[in-house]
Amino acid sequence: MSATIMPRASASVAGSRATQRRRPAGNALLGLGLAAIALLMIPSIGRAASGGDMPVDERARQIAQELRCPICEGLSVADSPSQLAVQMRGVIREKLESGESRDEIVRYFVQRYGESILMEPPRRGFTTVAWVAPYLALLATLAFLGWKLRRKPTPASPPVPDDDLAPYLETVDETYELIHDEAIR
Amino acid sequence: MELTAADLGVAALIAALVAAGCSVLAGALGARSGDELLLRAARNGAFVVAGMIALAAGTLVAAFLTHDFSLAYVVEHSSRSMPVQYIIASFYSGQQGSLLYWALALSVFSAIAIRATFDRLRQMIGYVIAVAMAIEVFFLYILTFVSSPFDRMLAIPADGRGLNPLLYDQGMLIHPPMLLLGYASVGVPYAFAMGALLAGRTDADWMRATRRFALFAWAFLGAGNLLGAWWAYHVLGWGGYWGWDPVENSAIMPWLALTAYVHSVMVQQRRGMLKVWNMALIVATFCLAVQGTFIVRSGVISSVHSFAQSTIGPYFFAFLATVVIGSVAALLARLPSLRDSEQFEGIVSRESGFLLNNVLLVGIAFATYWGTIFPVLSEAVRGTKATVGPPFYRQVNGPLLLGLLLLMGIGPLLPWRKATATQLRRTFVVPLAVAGVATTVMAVLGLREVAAILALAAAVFAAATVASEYWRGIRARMRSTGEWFLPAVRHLIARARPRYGGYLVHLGIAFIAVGVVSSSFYQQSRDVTLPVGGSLTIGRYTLTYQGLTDRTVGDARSVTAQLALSEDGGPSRTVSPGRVFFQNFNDQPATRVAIETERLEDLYLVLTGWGDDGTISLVAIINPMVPLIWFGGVILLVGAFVSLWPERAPAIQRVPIASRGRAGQPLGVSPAPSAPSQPFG
Repeated sequence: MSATIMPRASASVAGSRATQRRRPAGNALLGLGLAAIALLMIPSIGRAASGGDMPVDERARQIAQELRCPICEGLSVADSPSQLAVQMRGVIREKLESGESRDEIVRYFVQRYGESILMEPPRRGFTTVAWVAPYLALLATLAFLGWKLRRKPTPASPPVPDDDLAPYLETVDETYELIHDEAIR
Repeated sequence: MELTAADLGVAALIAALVAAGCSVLAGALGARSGDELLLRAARNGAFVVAGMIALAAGTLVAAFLTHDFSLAYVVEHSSRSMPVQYIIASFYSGQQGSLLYWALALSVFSAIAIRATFDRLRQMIGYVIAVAMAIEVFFLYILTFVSSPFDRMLAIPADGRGLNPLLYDQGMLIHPPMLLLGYASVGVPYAFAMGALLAGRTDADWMRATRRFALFAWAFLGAGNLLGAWWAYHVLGWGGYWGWDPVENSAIMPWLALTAYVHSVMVQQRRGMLKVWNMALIVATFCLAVQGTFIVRSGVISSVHSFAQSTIGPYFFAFLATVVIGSVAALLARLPSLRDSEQFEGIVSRESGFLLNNVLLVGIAFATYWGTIFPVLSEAVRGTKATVGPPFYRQVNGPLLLGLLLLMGIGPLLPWRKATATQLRRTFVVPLAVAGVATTVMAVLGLREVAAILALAAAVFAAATVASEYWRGIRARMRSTGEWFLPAVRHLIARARPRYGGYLVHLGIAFIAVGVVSSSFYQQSRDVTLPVGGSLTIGRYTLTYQGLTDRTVGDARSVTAQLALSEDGGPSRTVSPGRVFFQNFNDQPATRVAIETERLEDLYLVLTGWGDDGTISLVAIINPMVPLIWFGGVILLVGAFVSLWPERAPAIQRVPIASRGRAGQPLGVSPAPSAPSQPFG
C-alpha cells in the first residue's frame, strides 16, 4: 500500500466543500464543556450519603474533620496534634456516646466558637456564594469561548483532512515538531 | 573609620539600585531611538546589577558564617551553636534575606537571558531590559530603604536567637530557595512579554527566546511546592502533605497559571492563535508570583508559614497595582497587533484540548484564589469570618482536577487542526483498553468509591497515553533506522526533548495523582491513649507502647516514645515518634513524626501528648500510596529538565517529502544526519 501524497495546495480544492459541511465550532465546544462539567460534578453528589450505623470512632473522626482547630492555622480538629484538638476530639466522642447527633455536636461547637469553626463555609445564606462562584466563572468562561469561536467566520483556506490526507498531514505535523524543536534549541 | 560588612552590603545595594535605574532609562530610550550605545549601556547596567546584588548577598553569607552579630538579621536568624548548613539556610529564613535572594535570582536570570538574546531580539531588547530592571528597582528600593538585611544592632549581643524550630529540617534547606527561585524566574518571561508588547513585536519570538526560562520557573515552582508538601508531611505531623493553607495556595497558583502558559504557548507557536491570552497568562503568573513572595514573607494572612511580620505590605500592594495597571494598559494599546492569524478548525483537535486544559487550570487557580480571599470578603460584607478549609477545595477543585487528569490522557493523542474518526480510533484504542483493564482490576479488588475509581482510571489512562506515544516514536525510529530499542529511545528523546520531556512530566503527574487520590480516599487513622504495655492495632500493624525517654542534647530537649511495631504478628522492631523543645522556642515544640514505609504505604505515627500517669496520646495513620507522590515528583522534575536541557541534537536532514518512503512516518529520523541545523522556512 502506498498512501497518496498530495502537495498541500492541491488539497484545498476539497476545502470549500468541507467548509460548508462544518458546523459552527463554538456550539459544539460549549456543549462539550457543559457535558464535561456535568460529568465532573458527579463525584461531589454522593458525599452526603454517610453516617448512620458507622462505629463511633469513624463518626467522631468525620465530625472532627468538619471542625477547625481554633488555635492552629488551617488544620482540622481531626488532623491537629495540639492539646486543644485532643480535648475537642474527646468532647466529640463523649457526646456521640451519650447519643447526640452530628448536627447537635456541630451546633454546640458553632455556638461556642462562632461560624468560623466550620472548615467549610455553610451552604446557605451569604456563604453559598463561596460555593457557586467558581463554577459560575467556569461556565461563563466556556460560554464566552463558545460565543467567540462561533462568531468568527472560518476562512476556507486550510482544508479539512480527509482520511486519505490524514497520513500526509500527520507527516507534516511530525516534521513540524522536529523543526520546531530544532529552531528553539 | 573601619569598613564593616554592613557598610559593604549597603553600598553594593545602593550601587545596584542606581545601576538598575540607569538601565531602565537607557533601555527605554535605546529601544525608542534604536541607539546601539544606549542599548549596550542598558545591557551592561543589567550585568552590573547582577554583580552588585551578588556582592551584597555574599556579604550577608559571610556575616552569617563569621557570626557577625552587629547585624540585626544575623542575630534574629542564627546562633553560634547551629550546624553550618542551617546557618546558610538562615539567609532566606526571614523577609529581608528572602527578598535579597529574590532580587539576586531575577538579576542573574535576566543577565543570562539578556546576554543570550541581545542580538537576536534587538528590536525589543531595550524594553525587555527596562522592564526587568524596573522590577529590580522596586526590590532594591525595599532592600535599601524599607527592609534592609544590613540593619545594625545598637548593642552587639554575645549570641543570636537561632532558627525557628519548624525550620530545623533538611526539607527546609531546599524548599524555600526552590520556591523563591521559581517566583523570581517568572520575571524573565514576563519582562520579555512586556518588552515584545511595548516594541509591538507580538509574534512568537519572545516565547521561543524565553521558553527555557518559563520551563525553568515552572520546574522550580513545582519542585518548591513538592518539597513544601514533603516538609509538611515529615515535620508538621498532621498526617497530610497539603492543607490548602493560604501560603500553599499562593505558591500553587502561579504554578497553575504557568502550567497553563507552557501549554498555550504551543498553540501560538504552532497555529498563531491565543496571542492575547498568552500575554494575559504571563502577566497573571507574574502577579501571582509577586503576591506569593509577598504573602509568604509578610505575615499578611495567618498561616503556618508566618515566620516574619513586617511593614512592607503597602509597598507590595502598590507594586502589584502598578504591574497590573501597566500590563493591562500595554496590552490594550497593542490589542490590534495581537489579532490571531489562524482560526480554530475542529472541535476535536489538539488546539481545543489545550484550550480546555487552560480553562480548567485557570479555573482551579481561580477557585483557589477565591477560597483564599473569601474569608476576608466575608468579613468585609457581613462582619463574620468564614473558614474556607480543605473540604471546600476538595469539593470544588477535586472535579476540576479530575477533568484535567482525563484531559492529560486525551490531549496528547489528538492531532492538530481536526481529528478524523480513523485517527481517533487508532490512537485511543490502546490507552483506553489499558484504563479499562485497570478499572476492572480496581472493581475486583473491592474499590467502591466512584470518584476514586474514576480518578485512578484517569491516571492510568494518562500514563498509558505517555507509554503509547513513546512507543509510537520508538517503533518509527527502529523501523526507519534499524536501531535497537535503547538507542532508539535515546535518539528519540534527543531529537524532540521538549515533547518527550513533557510526556515524562505527564507521567510524573499521573503517579502523583495516584498517590493523592489513594491517600485522600483510603487513609485510615486511629487516635488512642496508651498505658505502658498497652497496644494498638491498625491495618496489619500492631503497636505496643514500651516507654518514654526524655533527653537533652545541646539546646534541644527531646521526648520520645518507644513503640514495638509488628506486622501481621511477625517480628517486631522499635519505632520512636517524639517531640523536640528548642531553647528560646519552648512554646513551639517541633513534632518528630515516625514514618515507616512498607509496600507503597506509610505508617505515620505522631506523639501528641503524655500524662503524669505514664500514658501517651498517639495518632496512628495509614497513608496508602504516598511514596508515589515523591516518586512522581522526581519523574516530573526529570521530565522538566529533559525538556529544557540545551543539548544540541543531530540536525534534521532536509529531504524532499516526495522522496520519502511511506507516508505517516516521521521525517528527520534518518540515521546519517548531515551538517549543523539549517534555518527552516
